[in-house]
Amino acid sequence: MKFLMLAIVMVVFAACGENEGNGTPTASPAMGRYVEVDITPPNAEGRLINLITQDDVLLVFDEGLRTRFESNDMGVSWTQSLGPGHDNDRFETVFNAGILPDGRLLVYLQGEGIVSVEQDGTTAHFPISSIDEGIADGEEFNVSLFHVLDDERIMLVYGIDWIARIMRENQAEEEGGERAEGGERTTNVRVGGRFGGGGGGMGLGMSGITTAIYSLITGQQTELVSYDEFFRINPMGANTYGDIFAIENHNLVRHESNGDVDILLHGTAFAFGAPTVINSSVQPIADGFIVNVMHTGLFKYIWDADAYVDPAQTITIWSLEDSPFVRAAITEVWRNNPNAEIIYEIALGDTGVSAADAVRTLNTRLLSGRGPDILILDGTPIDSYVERGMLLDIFDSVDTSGVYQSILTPFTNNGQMNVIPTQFLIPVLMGAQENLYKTPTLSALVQAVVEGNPLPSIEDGRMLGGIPEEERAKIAFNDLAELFDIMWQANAAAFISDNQLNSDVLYDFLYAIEAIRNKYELPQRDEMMAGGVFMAVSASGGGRTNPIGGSIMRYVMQSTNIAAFEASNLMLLASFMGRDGSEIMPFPGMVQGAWTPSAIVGISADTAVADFAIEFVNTMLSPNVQNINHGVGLPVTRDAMQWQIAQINEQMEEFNLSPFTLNMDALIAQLQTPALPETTLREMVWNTVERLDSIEGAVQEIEQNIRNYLAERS
Amino acid sequence: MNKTLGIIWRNVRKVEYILFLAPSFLGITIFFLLPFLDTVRRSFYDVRGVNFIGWESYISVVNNAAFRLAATNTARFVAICIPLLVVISLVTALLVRAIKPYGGIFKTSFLLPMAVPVASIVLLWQVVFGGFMRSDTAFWVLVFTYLWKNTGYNMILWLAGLDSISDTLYEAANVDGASRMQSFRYITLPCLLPTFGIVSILSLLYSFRVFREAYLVAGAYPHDSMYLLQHLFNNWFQNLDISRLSAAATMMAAVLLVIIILMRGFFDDKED
Amino acid sequence: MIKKINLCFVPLVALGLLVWWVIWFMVMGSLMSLEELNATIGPALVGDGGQVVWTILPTWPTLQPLVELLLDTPQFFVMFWNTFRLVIPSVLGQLVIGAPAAWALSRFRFRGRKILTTVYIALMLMPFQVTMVPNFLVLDRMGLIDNVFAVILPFAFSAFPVFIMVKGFDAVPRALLEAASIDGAGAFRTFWSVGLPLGTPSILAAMVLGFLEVWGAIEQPMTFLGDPTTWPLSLFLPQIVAEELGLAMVASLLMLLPAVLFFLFGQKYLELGIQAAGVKE
Repeated sequence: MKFLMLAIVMVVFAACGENEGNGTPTASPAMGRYVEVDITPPNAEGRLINLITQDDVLLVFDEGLRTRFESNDMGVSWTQSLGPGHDNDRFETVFNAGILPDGRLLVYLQGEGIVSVEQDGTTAHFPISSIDEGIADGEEFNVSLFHVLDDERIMLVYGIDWIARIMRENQAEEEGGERAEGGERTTNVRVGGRFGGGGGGMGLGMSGITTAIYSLITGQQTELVSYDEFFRINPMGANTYGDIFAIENHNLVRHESNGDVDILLHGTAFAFGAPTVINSSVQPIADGFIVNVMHTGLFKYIWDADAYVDPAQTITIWSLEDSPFVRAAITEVWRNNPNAEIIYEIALGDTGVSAADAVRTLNTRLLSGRGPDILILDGTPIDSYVERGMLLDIFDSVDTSGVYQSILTPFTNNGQMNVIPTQFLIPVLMGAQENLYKTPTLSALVQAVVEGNPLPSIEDGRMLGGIPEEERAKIAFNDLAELFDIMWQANAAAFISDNQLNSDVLYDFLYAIEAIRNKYELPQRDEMMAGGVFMAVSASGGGRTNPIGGSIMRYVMQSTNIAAFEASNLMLLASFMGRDGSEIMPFPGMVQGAWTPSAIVGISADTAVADFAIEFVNTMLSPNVQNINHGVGLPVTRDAMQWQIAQINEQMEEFNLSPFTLNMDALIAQLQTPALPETTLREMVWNTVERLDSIEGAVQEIEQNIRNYLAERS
Repeated sequence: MNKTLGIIWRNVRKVEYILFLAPSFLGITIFFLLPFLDTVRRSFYDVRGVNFIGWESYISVVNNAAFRLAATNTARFVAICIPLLVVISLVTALLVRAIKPYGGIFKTSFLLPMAVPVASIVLLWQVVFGGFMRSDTAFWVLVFTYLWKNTGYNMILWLAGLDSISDTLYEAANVDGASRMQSFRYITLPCLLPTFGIVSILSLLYSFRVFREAYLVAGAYPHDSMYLLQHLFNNWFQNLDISRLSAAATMMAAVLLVIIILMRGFFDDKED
Repeated sequence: MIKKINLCFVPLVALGLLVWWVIWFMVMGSLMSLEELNATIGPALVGDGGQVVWTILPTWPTLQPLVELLLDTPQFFVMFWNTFRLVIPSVLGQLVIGAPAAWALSRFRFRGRKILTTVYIALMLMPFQVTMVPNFLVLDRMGLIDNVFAVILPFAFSAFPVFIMVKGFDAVPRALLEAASIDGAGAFRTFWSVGLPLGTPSILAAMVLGFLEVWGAIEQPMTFLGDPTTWPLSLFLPQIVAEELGLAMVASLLMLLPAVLFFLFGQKYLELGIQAAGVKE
């Protein structure tokens, strides 16, 4: 019976653990919530730096420390005076600062290290041992947090500024000088104790990040602090208990010094969470937070016990993957409905569950009537949801008047519409007109690749500098997976007609992939194709960065004749089409006018807030959301397309570049067949393609799988 | 007064079993029986459980090629696996008994696979059997997996059955001049009949659980030869085809029930 | 005699190797550097037709993947703890709820007993997908969705341990019970002082099996626990297999270890229990 005693003890133990672990239940909509207040000082220009003194005075400096704004009531009223940089440009590169107990600022200046700054702009070197040593060795730093703890100690978060370092190394090489040494490695230890003061900032392009406490008197390091290395490019601030607050994945989170991380504010509802913004600091204050949203303003988040959440405006949005476009729509809806509660569920998130698992869980919830209100259906079996009546008919309620007809047609059926794409992509080839003329069909393209040149070797120095036209490989794409993706979009809809598999089409498809794969020795040489650079390409709002695919890079660097990619970003198209008279044509496939619907939205038939859900979908189609180029899709409304093109041409003119002349209306008018949105079939074929031994074997295997797939649906 | 108390007491004694059984039965009802009955109900309704559609789903299921393939494969799998497992585990048990002093290490060895979580062996299986999963051998990989996992458990059951046979029976047979084979045929096998009952039910149970391995190793659409009913269930669920899923599940439950009743009639009667 | 033993050893050793080889693979795999893993088993996973090379011993044994998992993957510990939070209450529930029920089904004679036993067996055999949606509805109605009890309760009330324990109690000699009832012991005392002690092997066997089942559960936690921070290790493993081979090997091993340890600890009881289940008077 001893065992039973043990068992009972263990039940108690497990039950205790349960209470502990379940301490954060999902908040029920009730009175009280954080509200956003715009406290940007009037007349403040450019990037702002905000600080809080020991006497709880809020200080703001605008770009270059030119103007100083002071508020004794946390941003309600401001007084304005000249800043240290009003008559000089020494502080142009300063994006971050700290404040000493005596009121002097601390900033990092390139080549000088940390300096203290008086009101009148005079500076004095401020010794911090490791930074000074690094500078002596030729390093440059970014300091992302200056946090004065008390009269004697300061906590710094800094890293090596690799952008500055690369520039310096290039310079050194040119001058035949020596390379700079790498940053020192440190082992982190924990630190307790109370903190006080203010400060905050942001670091970009940092490596070897160190969080350490230094003596304000000697400049020597006294302790290293162990927070997880989450702070690469995240803005952050600390409170008096040593918690660090940061904005990560659009949410405001708290890192406790014991390593715990909590989400305090979900960013979807607030300015700092908008997909297009960069936040430069987070600062805890007595009743909330101040967040500095770069180029947008300074916002205060305070707990308002009287604010309420409107149950009729409480809505859940589900999508398989995170989408900046959906986030933009959420922000817009929330701006129009301050009492709304919008929950954005991202099924795949950081958890790494498979799409199939995520869909299974979604189905369970939908069937039990506990599903989300709005479904972003990309990657799910959309037809099943429509056929089984899981989605509302939104034909009459959603305003689609501005949407391109060719986008709308495949999704409307006898005056009924259950889902609508709110973004779209087009699989295309980009190249000189005479090259594109030679590849009007899939077989012509394959032939051109096979008869063309092999991929250049990585040792070929001309990889970066341009290869003579006749020696270039025919086509570029990121890697085998991307080639498959593009070809899938342009062909898959032809695989199945009348619930029957068309084996010939499948064979041609596999043959094309096999031929290109063999010619370019993929996937072994995938890395030869991949690799793009990051670049800010947003046509409007914020400084969001978007990757440029390896395909376009290879093409632009003149190592191939043609680039194959999915057009999803007008700015990118505009930037590269101007060169060498490049043209765009739809990717030649076995489907006529193939295009890829994206951000496909539907409303659950079980939703309790249908009106608000409809408002949400309408907002997704509204100019404020469609006009923004998120780099993940093209706008589905003609007005937004024209608006984006106008914006682009304005910028092109500014830089004296040729305008964007592609006739999008004509291109879109050609679109006929949306690619299969479902991923089951795609995965099935890809799994076989990935290890293609013989085409016959592959066709047989896929045929058999598709037969079962179709049989299940008959 | 005393008499009344006595009657009440006797009646209480009669229904005491309810107190023992109630918590479990309540839980079984809530978490398993009612959900199952709801599944039966859903098989007669449309997907959202609103409109009555009668036998439509059943007809559609019976005529469905995928269902036929899956049902055939499942029946084939069960029909091949269970006898194989029964025989192999019995042989193993006899062998382990024959080397009695060293049997412990083998008992541990054969039981160990049961403790290996599915997720842990998936990686290994992908590496070892990856090449076999795309031909008819896939079915036999599945059979192997099943035998690999469950032989130990059944072997212990057999060992227990063998241990329970009294030595005096064999001695008597020996005296009568029976050969070893005759002893086995006329003493060992009949005495093992009750064990056979539980071995088969558990083998059946575990044959359904092998789906997990199949799914994690070969995905939702494996080679035709190992496309089982649970693959179909899984894919229908994925595709929100709940009515047909429910109908197929109800039919499967009916078949299982018949099998269980037959088995129980065959093995358990003697006990009462 | 010696010859006979040798012959019996051959097939047993062969079968035993099939088991030990798997364990060996896991231990060695987790001691291999990522480069070596990629070189040896990588080809089979990428699936470009490469040949799997498997070495008996790692060329350069390294603890790096282990260190990486333990030090740099905080969610591993959270999930480890989450697993125990599901397993321990489930298994204890099976004990507290299942044992009396099994006793009743085994020892009491009442109308409907056989039907009830059949129902238990039938429900035990039902695949999870069959009742997934109604199960979700029930748990939702009870307000348990996203709560660990949504996983714990159905496991605690599972029919399988009852079935195992019934078989165990069936093996308790009648003579002992009769002796107890002559002593005038009530049903509860008989259960407590005769049934439980004599049924301990099969109860523990049921608990070991229950432990293994909940430990490896995948569908239930994924479906009923919306918050990934409460997910157990069994969900963590498939997801890292795809990403990090080295970590996957170590995590597989660590996932296996508690199950095997618990199993080895309980093996004696498991055997006794299985035996008790297999024996009829």
